[in-house]
Amino acid sequence: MNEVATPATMPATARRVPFVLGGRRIESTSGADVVVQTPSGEVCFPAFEESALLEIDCFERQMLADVPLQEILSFLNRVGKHWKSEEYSRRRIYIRQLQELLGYSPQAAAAEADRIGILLTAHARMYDIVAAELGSRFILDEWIAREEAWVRAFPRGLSVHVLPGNVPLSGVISIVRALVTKNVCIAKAASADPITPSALALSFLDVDPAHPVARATSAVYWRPSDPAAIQLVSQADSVCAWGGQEAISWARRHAGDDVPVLSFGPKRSVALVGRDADIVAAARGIAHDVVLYDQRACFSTQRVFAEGDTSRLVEGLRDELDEHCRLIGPASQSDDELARVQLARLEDTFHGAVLESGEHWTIVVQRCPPDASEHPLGRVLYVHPVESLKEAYSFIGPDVQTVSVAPWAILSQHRDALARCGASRLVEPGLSNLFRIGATHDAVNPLQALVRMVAVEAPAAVHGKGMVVAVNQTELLKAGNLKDLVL
Amino acid sequence: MTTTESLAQHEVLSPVSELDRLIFTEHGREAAVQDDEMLRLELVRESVAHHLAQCSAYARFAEQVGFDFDSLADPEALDYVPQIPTSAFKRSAILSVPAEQTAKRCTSSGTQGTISVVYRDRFTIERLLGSTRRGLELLVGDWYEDEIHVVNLGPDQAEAGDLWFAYVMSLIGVDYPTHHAVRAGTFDPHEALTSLSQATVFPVLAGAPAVVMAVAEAALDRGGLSIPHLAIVTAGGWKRAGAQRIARGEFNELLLRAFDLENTCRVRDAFNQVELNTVMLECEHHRKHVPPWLHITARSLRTLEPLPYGEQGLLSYLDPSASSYPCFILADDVGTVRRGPCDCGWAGRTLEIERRLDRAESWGCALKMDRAWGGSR
Repeated sequence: MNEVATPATMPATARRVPFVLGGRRIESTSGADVVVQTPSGEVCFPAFEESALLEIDCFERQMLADVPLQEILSFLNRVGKHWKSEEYSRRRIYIRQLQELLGYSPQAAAAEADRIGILLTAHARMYDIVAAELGSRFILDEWIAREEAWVRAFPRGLSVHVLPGNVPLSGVISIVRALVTKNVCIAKAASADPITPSALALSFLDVDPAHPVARATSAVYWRPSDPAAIQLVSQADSVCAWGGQEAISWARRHAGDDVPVLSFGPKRSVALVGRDADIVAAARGIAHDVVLYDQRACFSTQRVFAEGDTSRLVEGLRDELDEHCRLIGPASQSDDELARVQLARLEDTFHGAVLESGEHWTIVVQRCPPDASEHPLGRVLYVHPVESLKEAYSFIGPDVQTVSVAPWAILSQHRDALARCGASRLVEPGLSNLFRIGATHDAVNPLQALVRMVAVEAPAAVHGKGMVVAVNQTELLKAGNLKDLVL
Repeated sequence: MTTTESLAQHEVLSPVSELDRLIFTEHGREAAVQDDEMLRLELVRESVAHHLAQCSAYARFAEQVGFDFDSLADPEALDYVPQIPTSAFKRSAILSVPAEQTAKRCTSSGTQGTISVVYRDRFTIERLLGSTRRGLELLVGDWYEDEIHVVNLGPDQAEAGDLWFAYVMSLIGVDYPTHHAVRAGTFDPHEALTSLSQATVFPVLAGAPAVVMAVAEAALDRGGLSIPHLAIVTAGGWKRAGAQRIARGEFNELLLRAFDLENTCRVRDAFNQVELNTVMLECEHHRKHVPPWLHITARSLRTLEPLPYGEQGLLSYLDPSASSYPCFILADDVGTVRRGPCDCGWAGRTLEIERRLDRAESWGCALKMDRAWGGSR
């Protein structure tokens, strides 16, 4: 929920969050400020209005095009080192705000700041990601020979990112993807996480506000009805929309006809545990994947399909959930979230499920219902006993992102079928949040949507593969032997 | 034999239950004062006994949550009758009668995902009808029934099918002459206006807020219609028309202008949901009056413990009017139950529905977080 506030009506408790536009901190615009309700507080943003749009219009959209990738990664690395430092004041403010405004536990908030630091300093891995998704780690800086052509990846230009609120790191990943592909990035914060984009952009300014990467990064917030927002999206060269179907439809509706819209819609994730699994290891991994982000992430395990007798697995899960809840305390839950969990428990009791619960978790053991898409979140894990893991296939569709499988040895028996059902990632339990180099995101290579792959093709003098004559089509036409072009 | 003894004898022999007497007897305003807790306790006790005996799923559930029927001895104990979350109706058929005795399969609109399915027998449907008619007493007081002309901005019963909202709205047409504005799936606000303008004595316009608004806007396009005594009944909320939603005050004012109404008291909202067997209508002070047989508890969102009257919580219902399924339900609406006299003259309890419980997805589920983006609010 958001509303317009005047200084007189702005709640005293609302935290002010500035915009960052093209390397400049913007604390207010001529419009009325906007108050945004967060899960456990309120923040106040400047209004996103015509003046912000005019400023963005003045950005040189190719400002990073000639900046070597190594310079971009070096800059991100320097920022990342700050984020890793526990004395860095912006990190400390960020951790405090994650707790105050988003309800994170101290451990979860600190872990999120750590992850931002790890991501930004992972320059070597970023080269590998570029290589895996675009074909070469040099392709953003140079023309790369590819068969009979030389190709180079050019930035699309102005890249608008409508960010998620459930996993702050996802927003950072989205911004980093735009920057490593040399785009100018406008990041729109989610109302459920209004702080991460600005915190990141401000940390760029802390290092060097004049650096091209800092100037290419903007963090803003807008309301869906803001005309300036609609106009901005219509002018973007690429759009990345994270969110529900409404959000994605909105982005598609307002983006230009030829503009790629990269969408990461809502997903759920499950685990499969075979008869021969190491139950202790599987339970440990699954507990980790349940506890992280309190099941709010797309990769969070919500359900386990387990072959045979599940009693040992449930016993292991009990211990491991206790342990992981100690390691990562739960986020504060709103009244509505708590009510949802209680309603789900009662519903499951009504349907004859066996429930076990700890202080911060619930395990529900029952045969899988026909519609397994609804879930209350809040560290509730459904364990569905099955005779064969193949029974789980019918519960897996395109809305399933990650399937973790134990033991790893049985993966080859299931991976093709799971992929055909719609799953887009197969991992070992405990690794659901680690996107490996070379992996896809929701079955796409996101960097590809952020660049234009331009080709320089070989001249006529170069015989094409399978050709034995120079490529002179006019002569061949005259001679009537065009078919000899390829022998 | 004295008259009192004679009456007592007559009551013993009456085939009409106390519940049906409450539902079907025309009361006028005085009768609503009889919001008798002990009577409600007795009605619910009978109903609980029936469903424990006839619905094995409910009996098992009651046992699992440790319910002791004998503890149901005073009105406070009503708050501890086992209640089924309404989401359970999405997963299985919950029945207290043999399937062949059910007369209607009722489904929710499914705006929040999977649909709920509730099976009703004839008794249950008749009582629902009775509650509708009883609710309408709030609307007009004394009337000649044949002078009412309803324009229902929905389909007739045949076309309504299983969809609960359309069906409930069509029920008004069972008791009163009704024009249905949806035919073959097509809604024509102009035709509805024509029918309204032809109604002579006591016209009633009934429909979802969004379609009522469409008719009002069509009227304004014609320069407005003058039907000061028109009664307007809305129900069902805005659902998929959320983007058009306007505040209640603004909505009432729009209708006031469109139909030249005497006052905004002519606009009333009704509440029901597919799992509940009673319809509640607002009085002229826009308060939804709870009929005497229906027990409503607002519960703490954090603990589900019952809250005192006047405190906002998760709403739960014990509705003894349903015989084909245990209508002891825990809904996902947040609201407030109040007790005490209303300015309209009715006593008893009133219900205020504040909002729907946030879905897990709106804050939780992966990436479905930024609902504001989509323009829904």
